[in-house]
Amino acid sequence: MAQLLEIRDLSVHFRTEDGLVHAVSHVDFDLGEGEVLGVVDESGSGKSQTWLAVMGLLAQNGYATGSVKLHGRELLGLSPSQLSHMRGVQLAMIFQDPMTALNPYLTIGRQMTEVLQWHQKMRRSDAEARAIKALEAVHISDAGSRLKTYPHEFSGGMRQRVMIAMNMLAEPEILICDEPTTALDVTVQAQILALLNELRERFGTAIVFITHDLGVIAQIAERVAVLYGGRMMEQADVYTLFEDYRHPYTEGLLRSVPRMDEDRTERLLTIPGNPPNLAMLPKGCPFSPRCAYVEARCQQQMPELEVIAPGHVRACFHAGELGRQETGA
Amino acid sequence: MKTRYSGRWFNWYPGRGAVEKVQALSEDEMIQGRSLWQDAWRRLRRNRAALLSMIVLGVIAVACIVIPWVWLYGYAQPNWDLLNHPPTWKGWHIFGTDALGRDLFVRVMWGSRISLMVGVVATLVSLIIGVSWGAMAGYIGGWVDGMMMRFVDILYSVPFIPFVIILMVLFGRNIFLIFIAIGAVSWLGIARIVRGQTLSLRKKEFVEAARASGLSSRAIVRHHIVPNLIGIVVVYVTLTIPSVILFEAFLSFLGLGVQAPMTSLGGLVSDGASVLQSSPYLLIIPAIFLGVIVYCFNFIGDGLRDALDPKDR
Amino acid sequence: MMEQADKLLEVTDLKVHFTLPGGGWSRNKQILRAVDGVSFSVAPGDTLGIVGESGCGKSTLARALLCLVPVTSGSIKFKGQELTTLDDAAMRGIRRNAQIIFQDPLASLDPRMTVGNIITEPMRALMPELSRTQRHERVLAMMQQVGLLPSHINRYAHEFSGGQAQRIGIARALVVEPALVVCDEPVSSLDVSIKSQVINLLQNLQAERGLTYLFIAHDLTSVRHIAQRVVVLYLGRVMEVADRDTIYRQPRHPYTQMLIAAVPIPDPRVAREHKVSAVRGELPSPLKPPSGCAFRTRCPWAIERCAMERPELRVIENSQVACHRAEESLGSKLSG
Repeated sequence: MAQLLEIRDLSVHFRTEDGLVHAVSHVDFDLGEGEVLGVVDESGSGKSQTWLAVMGLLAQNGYATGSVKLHGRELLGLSPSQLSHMRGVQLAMIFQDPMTALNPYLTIGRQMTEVLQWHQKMRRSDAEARAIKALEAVHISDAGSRLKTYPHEFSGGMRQRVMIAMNMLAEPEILICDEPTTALDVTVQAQILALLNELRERFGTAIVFITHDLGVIAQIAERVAVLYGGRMMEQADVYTLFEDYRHPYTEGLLRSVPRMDEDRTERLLTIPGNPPNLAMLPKGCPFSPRCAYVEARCQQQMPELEVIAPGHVRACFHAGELGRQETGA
Repeated sequence: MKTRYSGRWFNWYPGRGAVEKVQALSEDEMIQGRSLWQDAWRRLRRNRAALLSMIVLGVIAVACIVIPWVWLYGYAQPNWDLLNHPPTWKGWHIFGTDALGRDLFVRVMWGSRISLMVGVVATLVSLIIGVSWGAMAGYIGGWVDGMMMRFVDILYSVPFIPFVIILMVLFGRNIFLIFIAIGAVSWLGIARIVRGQTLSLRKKEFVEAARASGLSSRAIVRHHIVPNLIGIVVVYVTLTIPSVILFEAFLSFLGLGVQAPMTSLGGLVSDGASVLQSSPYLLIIPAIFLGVIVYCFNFIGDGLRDALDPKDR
Repeated sequence: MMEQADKLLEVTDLKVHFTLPGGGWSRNKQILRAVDGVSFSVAPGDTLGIVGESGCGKSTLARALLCLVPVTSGSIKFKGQELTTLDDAAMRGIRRNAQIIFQDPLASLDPRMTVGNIITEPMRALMPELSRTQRHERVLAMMQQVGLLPSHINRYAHEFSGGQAQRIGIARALVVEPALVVCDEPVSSLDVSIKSQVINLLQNLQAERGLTYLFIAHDLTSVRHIAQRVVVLYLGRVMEVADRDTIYRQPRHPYTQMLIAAVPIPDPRVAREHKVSAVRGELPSPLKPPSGCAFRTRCPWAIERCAMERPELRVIENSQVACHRAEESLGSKLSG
């Protein structure tokens, strides 16, 4: 796979009333063409900020440092107009709540064709034909007449489909999905995931999928990055991460997911404590207050990322085995 | 049977375990919570324009309460030696005197006092009527709401200036009448805003939770609806006061304000405007006071709005 | 089947219909059948799970049980007492015994009240016999039980994370010592690692206090861990009722099978084998439900009869199923 996106040492900071908040600290990501990267992150972990920074969509009080290269071209520091062109053509992003990204006063058709007419100087009829094709690609039946409807006339799942169609219009190289299924029913979630998988195969779009649900990650991701408190905890391909994880947080996450395919346990296993508060991160490893393997030095310094195997990195001091000996029994 | 229990991921159980201690360490430091009001106050203090406005307004308010008591002259007391004199140190007429030799400084203080009083009292009148009317309509809902709001609509369509003028002509010029007349005009806006807010609050989950907790309707309105209305009402009030002051100035300009020789800022401006060519200070000084007071209220209102709902900016 | 006396809550043919005004000037009012003929019962100390997609009427059902929305017809019997005909004063007596935990913990807590006041409030209304100090002691004890620190008492709800806020919501519901707690999707909006904490907490509290739960959820995973019996709802109607083990091992209704198949499995190898989605179609508008069986528009086995005739709940072995073809269902599971 050819390298598409290269993120190095990216940090995102916000100036807030409580002082400077570090939403993301020194993270590295690579994304190959057509690859699906799953990003696991609990709420309060600065989840979307990395990717908003990539898109140049950070809030006013935020700024990013480090390097984000798309095809070797540095994106941080581009002018707003350059960024806006790139967003339409190379990068696209869908959000948890499609209603916030859709204008309730404009028809779906208008919102879809506007982008094409503006960015690619298409004629209206051509743009409409493209929009219909995009809606058909996300399995919205009767696409022609749907163009004349308003966002509120769609159900949550259909709106998310419209968002995907809208973002696929320009056939971007990278589609960033920020928890697109969290607010949806499991049944609709299954449909959206199947749709994303299908679109990727058809158009070769690389996908970044942000979620806190490992079940979803298992369905869609090829490589997985686990973040906590804005720090990279572990990164590996999906099979390694689920079967040979080396970080206590990954272990805790995997074990606290109730599973349908196994016998029911009397009690669920949990990670104690609360999700991180970015404004009050502990010194040292952000996961240390909730970690079962915590050592004295964890509370003093953040462990460096170490390479365990090719393509598998983790940041943890714990040297011994993680307690997973019973899992196979 | 497969088990995923490793022994190290102990089941979290409330009231015990190491986690509790870790949490306790990090959270015990802040025992007293910060209420939304405290948050808002903190943000308001950081808003320079609002803070400055509060200080200026405070100084004017204190001055116009204290100075008329202690000043050398009364508001109706003429100084026959100095008629129509511009500001001077002679006899401490620092703002000058008018055609009757009355000290403008003390008259501006009296005028500010009356104007502020009209602003605050008339707004309070409209607040009491508006909040109770709006909250009742919003909470009861249904046809009662419909009737009550149609009544508001009808009042809205009554031309109020002629109405007030007729009141004044019929009952004579009386400061209490001014309060009531202006209050009766301006409660409609508050009623509409409060009713809209109440409607949306009534559907909030915490109100439903209160109903499930067995609270009576009255207790819900008192404990949950009204406290959550205060924010928006406070903002609206700070923005209503200046418009009431301007309305009073307008009435005074028409000669329907307080009875002479008592005066208000509007009355002073009106008097000053007639002698603009010979004694411009008689217009300029009260006009500056009127402008500063109105500006201050507007800045405070805007600051409060931002402070109370930072998301809405 | 359970004996009459065993039932804490018994719901018979419950209907909650809302009349929606027609658009513009039209006088045609539309009727939304949010809950349309639902019956079930719960024994004391048990947990009944109620599962369905959003828009299936489960939240309306929860609110109807506590008389927070008006019931159109049918009966709700709590400890043998009919709730639908009670006046406000009598209802207050019931509220002490039946409480609710809401889905969105932050929205269900008044942002202008402290934690202590929020938890005290139901006691003020429902247990006026308690003195101020008694109330204070009970608040502190309750807070400890749900895993809040005594130092949290003067803090405001908006300062807490979702998981902690839900603990406050649980404390508020349990402080009056109810017998029945309706949990309206209490974990849906929480993070994965917090979800299981809250479920475990609910289970602990149930064991300690002998509580009866009505646990509502939109997916089958959390229900599996807490409920003994499960009711599957679709467009306001009951599709299937069965014991937990039966419903997960032998789901008979095609909708139940679809719900189970839709849950993502956190194992990449298994997940990739089941790549073909078993989920078909969209939830129809509850204003215009399909004729006959409500599920037929998405059902892979729908036949003509399903459009003509509405299937009633029938007992088949250990389950109650509302499907014309329930007998044929087990061999040919939908999933896969």
